[in-house]
Amino acid sequence: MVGLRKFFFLEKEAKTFARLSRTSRRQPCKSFLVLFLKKEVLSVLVLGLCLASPALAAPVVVTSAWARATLPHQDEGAAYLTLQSKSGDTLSDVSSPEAGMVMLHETAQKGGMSNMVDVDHLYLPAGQSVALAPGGTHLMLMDLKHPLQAGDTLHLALHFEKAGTQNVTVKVLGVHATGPVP
Amino acid sequence: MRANLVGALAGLIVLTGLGAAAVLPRLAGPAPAATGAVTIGGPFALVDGHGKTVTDKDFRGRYMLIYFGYTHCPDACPATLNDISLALDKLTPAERARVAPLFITVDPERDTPAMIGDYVAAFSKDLVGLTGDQAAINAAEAEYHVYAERHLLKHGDYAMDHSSIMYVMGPDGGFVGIINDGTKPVEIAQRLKAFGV
Repeated sequence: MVGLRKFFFLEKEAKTFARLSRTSRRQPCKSFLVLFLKKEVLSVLVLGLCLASPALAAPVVVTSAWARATLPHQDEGAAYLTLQSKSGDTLSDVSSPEAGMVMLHETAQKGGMSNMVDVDHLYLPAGQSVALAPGGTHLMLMDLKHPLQAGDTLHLALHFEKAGTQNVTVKVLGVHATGPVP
Repeated sequence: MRANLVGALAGLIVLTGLGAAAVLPRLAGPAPAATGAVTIGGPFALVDGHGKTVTDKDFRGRYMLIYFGYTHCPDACPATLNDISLALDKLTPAERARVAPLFITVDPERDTPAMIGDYVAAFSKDLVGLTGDQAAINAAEAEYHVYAERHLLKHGDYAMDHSSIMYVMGPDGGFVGIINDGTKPVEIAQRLKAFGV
């Protein structure tokens, strides 16, 4: 009985902790918590690690990632990919060791006009595929440290609000590419 | 009632005057041969990738396929120039010889002749990249009714918002038609053939 009360108390505490934590995925942690409690071995450190680990959040599925080879004299380029989150997520930031800055842009092509619009956050509705493709939303690679050539690999760190940071490698395709060949 | 009528009439006269004032300077310039008040296209004198002056007259007898853009454009321009180069590959050699694909910059400050020449060469050996001083570019933009405006990016650099349309001009230099960007290469080739290439 005392053990049970202790369990509820600790679970309540753990929930508060989870609410305060930036990565608020509780489900996998809860089962660990129960396991540790049963054995009466509760380590706050382990719990903390568990809550902080983004690997336990539903990862965003990244497919069709590619970048266009840079054109002569250009230190900027574009990368494209398709994102799908099972439970819904938001892409809030992107970085790359090969680029000084990566910006999320949308080429708004309407009525014969081409405007670049900054996109601060890209919302990924649950279960829906969100495709970044030429002539639409793209990752603009600014201040590239070296030109991208066909066959190269580009590294991107995608920062999601829920899933945390996911690293992806992106294939560089020639300037005539319109997307990866499946 | 009468005052309203007089006011409306006066407004109409003023508006007509303004309309004429807006149209007349364009007509007074070296306007291309056309009967209507609104024309698309006209003479230009720009500089190609080799630093050579190129005018519209150099392309008489061929169809000009003109697209305005800029080399720092990360997405729309490479996509469209790629579509154009793939469309050219779908023409017969004889048809292809009758098409002069031109890429005119809307960003002459950054696009030097060498830069725009190397840029278009990455897409197709047939593409001609053209730049010039700001006045020459402004004149070409006005003739083609091209909108182009700087758009500051977060980190201090700038992009250009611009009209993104392919213009087709006939062997006499006159306007033939437009092809929207985003048109698939095979369809661009079909449209060119339909225009008489």
